[in-house]
Amino acid sequence: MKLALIFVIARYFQRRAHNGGYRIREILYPLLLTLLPAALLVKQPDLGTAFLMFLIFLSMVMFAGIKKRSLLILFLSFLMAFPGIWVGLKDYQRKRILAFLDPYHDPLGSGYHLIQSKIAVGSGELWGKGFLKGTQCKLQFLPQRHTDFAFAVVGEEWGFVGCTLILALYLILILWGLHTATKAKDRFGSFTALGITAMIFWHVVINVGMVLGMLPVVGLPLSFFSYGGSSIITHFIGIGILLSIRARRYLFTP
Amino acid sequence: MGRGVWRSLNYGILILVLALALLGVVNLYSATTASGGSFPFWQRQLLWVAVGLFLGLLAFSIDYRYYEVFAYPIYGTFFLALLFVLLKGTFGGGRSGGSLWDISISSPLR
Repeated sequence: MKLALIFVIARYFQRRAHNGGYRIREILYPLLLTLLPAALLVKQPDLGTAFLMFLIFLSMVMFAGIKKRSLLILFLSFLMAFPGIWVGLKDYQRKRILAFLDPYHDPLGSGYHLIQSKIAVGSGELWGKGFLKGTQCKLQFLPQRHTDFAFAVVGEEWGFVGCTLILALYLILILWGLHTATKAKDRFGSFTALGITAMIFWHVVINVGMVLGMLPVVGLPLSFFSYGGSSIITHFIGIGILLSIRARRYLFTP
Repeated sequence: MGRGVWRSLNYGILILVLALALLGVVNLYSATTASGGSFPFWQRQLLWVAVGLFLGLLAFSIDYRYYEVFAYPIYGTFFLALLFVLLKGTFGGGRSGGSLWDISISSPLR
């Protein structure tokens, strides 16, 4: 769905090229395209993915360029919607956000994930405990250690150095993706490349932020790294398309 | 299409992504050695990476302008699938997206 959303938004901006920033009226249609599936995802409930779709939309709009006034309106309407979102959240989702603000309020319940994750990462120190030597993860203190919290295992066993190396790989990938977006032959390729890069970027930021306790637990996997067929397949297809845009920048005349 | 495209494939990035995925498998091996089972997580993940690589190369081989042409059919299909999974979860009594759908339909939606 994320890739499909990127295609339709890119198509929209391909067909609506003009100089200067876009007005709020012009981005209402891609906003609608984003909110329809996002609403279904919220119902599912998969709040993380719904939020990610919104971030992809926002990234692509920023790339397109938007009038300052329109950006302000968008920001203010989001602020105004916030109490509504808070009321609409399910009880456990509100708990997760409160747990993020103060994990020790309920250390065995809603704060448990965050505390265990931080203990695992922190205990790795600079060089880590070594492969297969992690105790927090081995003894199953840390839930979800194979999927969303896989990065905590890296932190424990490979330490700060291991985490930095992995993040450096993501940095290279994202910079290359941005470069692809600027070098693409047509606007559709450009916007698609940016959308896919944004998808990877936000996955990494939100996942790592969550593992380190800098963001609330929203349940997004780490791109290419976490266990799970869905995430792996979506990301590999995304990379395939990025490579395709990159490879075809000389091949045809538009 | 043809051979020209494969010559322009950026193998550096492909290797980087595969390295990340394989590090993920190695990490998974460490994270789940205590769990065991006849079909351990890391082997399943290795299978997913192989499937992902195949589909990724398939996506690469298609001229990306086709994604523009078929943007709405693709979007519509996923949207309906999402709606279907949700309705099934609501009226089927179970949690949204049963184990069967986790793989076949709700997976590519993430």
